[in-house]
Amino acid sequence: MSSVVHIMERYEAGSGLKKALSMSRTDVIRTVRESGIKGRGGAGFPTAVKWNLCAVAQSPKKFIVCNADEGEPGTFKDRLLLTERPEVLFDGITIGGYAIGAKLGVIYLRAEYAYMKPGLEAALAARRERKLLGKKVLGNDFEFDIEIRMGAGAYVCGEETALIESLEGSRGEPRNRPPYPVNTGLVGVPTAVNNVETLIACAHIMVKGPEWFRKQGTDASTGSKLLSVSGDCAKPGVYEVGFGTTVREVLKLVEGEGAKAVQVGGASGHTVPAKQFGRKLGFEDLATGGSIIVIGPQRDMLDVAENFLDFFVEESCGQCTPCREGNPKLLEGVRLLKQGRCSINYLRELQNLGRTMQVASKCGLGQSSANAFLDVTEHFRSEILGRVPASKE
Amino acid sequence: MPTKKTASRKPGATGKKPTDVAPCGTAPTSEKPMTITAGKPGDIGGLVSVKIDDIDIKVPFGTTILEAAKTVGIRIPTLCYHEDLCLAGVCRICSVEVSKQKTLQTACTFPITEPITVSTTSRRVRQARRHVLDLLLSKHYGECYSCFRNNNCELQALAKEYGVDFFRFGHPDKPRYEVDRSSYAVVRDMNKCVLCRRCVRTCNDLQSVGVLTAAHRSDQTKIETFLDRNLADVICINCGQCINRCPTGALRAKDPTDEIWAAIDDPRKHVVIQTAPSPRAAVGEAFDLPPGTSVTQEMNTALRRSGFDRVFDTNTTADLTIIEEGTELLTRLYKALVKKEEAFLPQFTSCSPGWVKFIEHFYPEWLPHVSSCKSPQQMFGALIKSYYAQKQNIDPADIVSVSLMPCSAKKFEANRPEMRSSGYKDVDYGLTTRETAQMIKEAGIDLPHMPKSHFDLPFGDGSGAGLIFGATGGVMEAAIRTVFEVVTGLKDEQLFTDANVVPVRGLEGIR
Repeated sequence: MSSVVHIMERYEAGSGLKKALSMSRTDVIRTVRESGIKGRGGAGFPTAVKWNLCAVAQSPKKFIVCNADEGEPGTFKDRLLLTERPEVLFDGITIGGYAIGAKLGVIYLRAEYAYMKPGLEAALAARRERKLLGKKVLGNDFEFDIEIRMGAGAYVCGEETALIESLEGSRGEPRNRPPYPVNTGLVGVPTAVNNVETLIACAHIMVKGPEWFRKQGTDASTGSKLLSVSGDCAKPGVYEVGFGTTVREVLKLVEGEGAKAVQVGGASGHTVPAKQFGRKLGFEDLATGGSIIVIGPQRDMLDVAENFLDFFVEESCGQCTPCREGNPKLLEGVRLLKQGRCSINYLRELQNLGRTMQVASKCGLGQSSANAFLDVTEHFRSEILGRVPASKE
Repeated sequence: MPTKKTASRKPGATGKKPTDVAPCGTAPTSEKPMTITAGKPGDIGGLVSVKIDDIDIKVPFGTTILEAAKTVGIRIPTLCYHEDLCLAGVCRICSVEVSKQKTLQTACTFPITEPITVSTTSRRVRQARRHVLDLLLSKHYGECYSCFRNNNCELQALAKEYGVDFFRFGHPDKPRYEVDRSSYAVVRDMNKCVLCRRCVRTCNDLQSVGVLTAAHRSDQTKIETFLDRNLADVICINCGQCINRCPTGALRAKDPTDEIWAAIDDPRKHVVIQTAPSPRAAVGEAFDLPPGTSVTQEMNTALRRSGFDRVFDTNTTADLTIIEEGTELLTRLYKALVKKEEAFLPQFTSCSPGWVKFIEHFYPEWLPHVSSCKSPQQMFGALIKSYYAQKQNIDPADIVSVSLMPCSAKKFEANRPEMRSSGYKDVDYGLTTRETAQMIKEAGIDLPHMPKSHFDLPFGDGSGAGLIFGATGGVMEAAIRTVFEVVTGLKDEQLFTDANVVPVRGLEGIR
């Protein structure tokens, strides 16, 4: 299998929006439902369900928020989309806003992407001129505008409720769920938070229909996915592939076949060992927001685990106990393993702790931060155990 | 568009009127009320079925799992939860299994809005509880023996209840932070903090003072003041409500008992103590008496046996306060109503040093409305070092004046630089009820079995007006009685049964 051009296809600005506005709100959501699209941020929540929950929530005011806080280590596909396909994104946000009944869309832009802001603002101003935004969008009885708000650099603000807290000007910390943002979101009103790639796909779906979208992918994971490939391979970069592509096929594409493991889904994803390279990318097997990090044979897997845990110890918001205190314990454990000073018993205890973190943490960060540790200690047991303690000199 | 129907999510909402409780936030430091929008009409106010550990019950829409479990006698451990406060869901000790949810859910925050099945005892739940406790203990510095909260600590109780028998993930052998003893009222030892953020929510949401906040991230997270300044250098009003809600020994009142013992042991010093009304009904709790048991006269004996030379009744100066404040109010009313001149009305009481400091920091434009009277504590202090010293022929420099009060802010008030009208510090030390009980215990005295004795004269008997200062609405009631009698020349018994001005009493609403 090779890479595809699907949601990166040509797109005429305003075309999807025009189509959507010719339909009823319910039909827009039905079309999205028929496409089977699930959230591209990684969690894979069905977009139509999210929009529908938001649309039926009983509130006179609603918001749609585009999550452009692309912060997962090894992810850079939204940067490409924001740079090369902003018009499609603006269409997607406007379509989503129309579907749920919002008058305002907010793009929460990653702090590191501040350089894009003037260009995006100019593009939004041009859209207002062309009546693609404004009091009467394309002459219809539909008012909509888009604002850009900047993040301040916290990884956790990619989590939708922390993102909303940040938008409200508070410390970026995840909220308790339920209630969910579709019910109680930005300033307490129903809010749909969608990934950049999801909204772009929805704009295409409006123009080309759900069947076109389903041409790529599997039954459970329809459509294509942008991958940000980095690490030990000859051709890193952004690739578009259909869901269902195996890890092995991706490695062939990027010329990284010699890899001993691949990190699918970034730091919070899973470490896939070579013997599992036949596994497929998709919500039914290996869910990913798009980060693929190739780990070459020369790498020490404990270095890999240490690197990721170091990241989470830095980025945990510090709110809930399992994540705040658990990650440092796992990191300490990896360092003990490196020194050959971690007993099998203590390793087992840390693995149990990792499993507790997966189920007892408040948000997706803490629930996934132990993944890499658990994968490495399970799949690379012979590599990580039995190291000789460094001499005391 | 259908109208928005929402159910306010409030802790302890079951069986309580919504007005009884604070609105509850969605995030730990949030003051925003969390609302659940109805999925369909009729949800709000309806009943939802829930099965908890095989017990089937029906609860009002929006009830939390914790509240539902309580109604059927199932105990779920909590730590960051406090019934006065907004929901935080940060400690995760109350995690339970909920049907259709992949991860564990916190019982304190999870609203029941559709039929669910809950398990509070699964292996994953037990393991998570233990891990949470082990992780908290791995950062909680100090030993229980030497902690003033020994046997009265929620973390310690949970560790015992859930079978912690060793420090699975270690235990700190060194403190990380310097203890902040800068404040006259509150000592903050962040080495014992478990980051439950109850103090933050108390300070922000209940008191609307907001000197405490969570700062930094991850394992560097720490509850801090603005720019991590000393508590004495920020706008803390010394109310001590954070101490009341701290589950561990991280927050405590500044304890002057060592200094007081030293004064008692010094034969040159004449040590007197004035006692406010409410501690007399509270100190018994420290000796296992039911809350509210009045032990005034036993306490008098116990204090004398502990070494205090005189035990006085603050009610005397509560009476004085009422005469002064009442007259001040009358003067202002006269100015406004009779002479038609500008007067600052309404007049606010000045008895509470926390309230006074709150106004000073947050509403300085209202300061002219605050009574110019000293509080009963400070009036008493000034009397002791002047009138009493002369009468007894004691050099005021040799008098150590202690004050037993129900509030940590009184410690601060005693140290305000302007409170030296006698030429000496009017009140040397403020003691809380707890500290007084500790002193009595330390002296080996069994308070409930003490013989009864009266207060010392010449400040012996106070009136009923002073006594009711200890009750909510009491100062106002006392003031009204006095003003009524001065203006009308009647006795207030002629208007109110037993002189009880009931409309100003109690906690409901705003007086």
